[in-house]
Amino acid sequence: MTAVRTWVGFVLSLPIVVALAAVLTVAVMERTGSGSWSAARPRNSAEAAAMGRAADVVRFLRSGDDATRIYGIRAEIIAPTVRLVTTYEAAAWSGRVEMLRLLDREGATVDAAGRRDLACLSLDLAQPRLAAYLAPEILPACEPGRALALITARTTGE
Amino acid sequence: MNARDIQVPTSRGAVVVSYGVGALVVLALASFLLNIPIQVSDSFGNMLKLTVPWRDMVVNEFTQRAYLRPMLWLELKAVHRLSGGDYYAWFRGTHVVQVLVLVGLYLHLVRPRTWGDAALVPLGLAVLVGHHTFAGTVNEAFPINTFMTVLICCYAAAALSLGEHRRWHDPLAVVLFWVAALTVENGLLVWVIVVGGSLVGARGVSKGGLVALGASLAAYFALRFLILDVGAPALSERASGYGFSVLEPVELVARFGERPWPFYLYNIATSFMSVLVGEPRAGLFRFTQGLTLGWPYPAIAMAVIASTAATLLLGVFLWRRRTVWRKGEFTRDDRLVLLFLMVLVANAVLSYPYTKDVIMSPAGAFFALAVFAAARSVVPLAESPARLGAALLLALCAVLSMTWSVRLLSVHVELWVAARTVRDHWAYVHDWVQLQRIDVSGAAAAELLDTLRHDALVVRPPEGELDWAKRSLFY
Repeated sequence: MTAVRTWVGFVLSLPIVVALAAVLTVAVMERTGSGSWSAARPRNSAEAAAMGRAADVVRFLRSGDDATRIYGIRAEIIAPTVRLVTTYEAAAWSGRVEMLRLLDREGATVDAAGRRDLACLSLDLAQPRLAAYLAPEILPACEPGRALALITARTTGE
Repeated sequence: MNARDIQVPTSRGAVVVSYGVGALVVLALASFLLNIPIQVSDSFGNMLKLTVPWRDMVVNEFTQRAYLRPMLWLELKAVHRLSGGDYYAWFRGTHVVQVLVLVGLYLHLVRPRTWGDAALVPLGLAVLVGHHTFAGTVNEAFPINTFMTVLICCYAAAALSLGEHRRWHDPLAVVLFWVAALTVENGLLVWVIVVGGSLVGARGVSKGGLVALGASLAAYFALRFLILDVGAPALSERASGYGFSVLEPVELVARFGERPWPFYLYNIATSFMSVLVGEPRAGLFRFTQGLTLGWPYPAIAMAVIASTAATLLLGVFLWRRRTVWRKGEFTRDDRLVLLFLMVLVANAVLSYPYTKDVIMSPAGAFFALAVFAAARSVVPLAESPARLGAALLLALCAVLSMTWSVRLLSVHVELWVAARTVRDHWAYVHDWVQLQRIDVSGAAAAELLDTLRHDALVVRPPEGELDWAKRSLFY
């Protein structure tokens, strides 16, 4: 009787033991960076900005990334036609004013002309809040679609 | 020592396996816990206050309104001083040690002695750490989690009460009471546990000790309400769940300002229900609302099924033991279950001004003890010749096992999400500081902010994208 009871108990505990083993496996794989989810981590500040991962943006910038430099990003991050962007441009795709403010605060500098271009890109991406943040005094006279086309052309060569 | 303790021979292997499983549970939790940097909200602001000299801190904490929690601040200050600036290691390390102590006390209380007991340890520990009231004791900190401190004091009080009397039990019970009660109001449950233990025949604390505890309780209320005039939290302090929506402080005052008792009774009743059936949570009937809308959110439904199944198991145990209890005979397992019921009621009553999952964590922790005790007694019935009864019982146990395994995963997913959220908070901390109007213009405050932010974002890199963490079954 007791042996049966013990086996019933062990069988009932099995799903919990499996769950515990899964948690420990995830923990080990996370520490060693061998989990498949680790591959989804951003590889540079532009990817991090596009993904809206503020913590990674700060980490990359502190490690030497330049928010105004063009980085290569993976096709699945924004679009297959947008593979070469600066961190600032990528931040426009995140749709978050906070992200742009974070880049400004982290010491990245963009001149007035650069901010106007970014504002135009934001308008192309239907992000008027971002455009208002980038060019608060006067919204630039943008040719619709041109800023986005320039960025796409870096990848497509057209 | 009760009859079971005498009759059941202890298997050393079973004890080792039980504590081994406990160690693995701690290892898993610690691994995820250590991934969370020190928080921005609730921690950074508190740490700024810790630079105040000891004497001023004690005076401040004994003279504020609504809360009497000087031990909370003394605990924070002590770890802060010991850290020597290595805040992450000391505060997070303290949290891990607390989890280790809690799991150790859990195993000490349920006393796994046989292989049958050892087989149930994973279920018991899954209920302990997977119960929805537990998550708040690990996924946030202030930067020590004071609710976890109270859980440890409550378990320690139960261990003293249920153990064989020793001379040091009485003074230690009094110390536990004062530490817990002056850490957070839930700490008053230490008194309930020791007195409750004696009511069900536990003799670990002597009559003299009980008198000293009674005097301590009276002294606490006198200190709080007569001498310091600290009072109790007002309606206007926090938003609160009510029915299907959250009422803001202004709405609470408008609705219950004149007659707060219906609101207080609502909080007591919903806190009570929350532990047993996982609904409502923080006063909100989200599962019921989900049902009315067509389909409840899976993670909420899972918590409801898991808690309800465990409560059904307790119900079977209570039904079977009722005649023995009427004779005033109690085994250790009976005492664990009865202590849970007492803690549940008292914890719910203490939640009258404000209800939140983590506030009910002591009841949740004793629920885990009671479920283990009930399972130890009820699982053998699966061998009963009454086939229908045995089949139903096995089905219930299967549901318990499956649902609590999901809940065990859930708590780790919550920790994963917390790590991600805290890092995002640190990235945007300057916006938050402005919003909260926290003064960080001083050199010390600015340095602390930079140190903690650098630690969170650069020293400890953010975690990867865990797809299963997003699945609604877990979170």
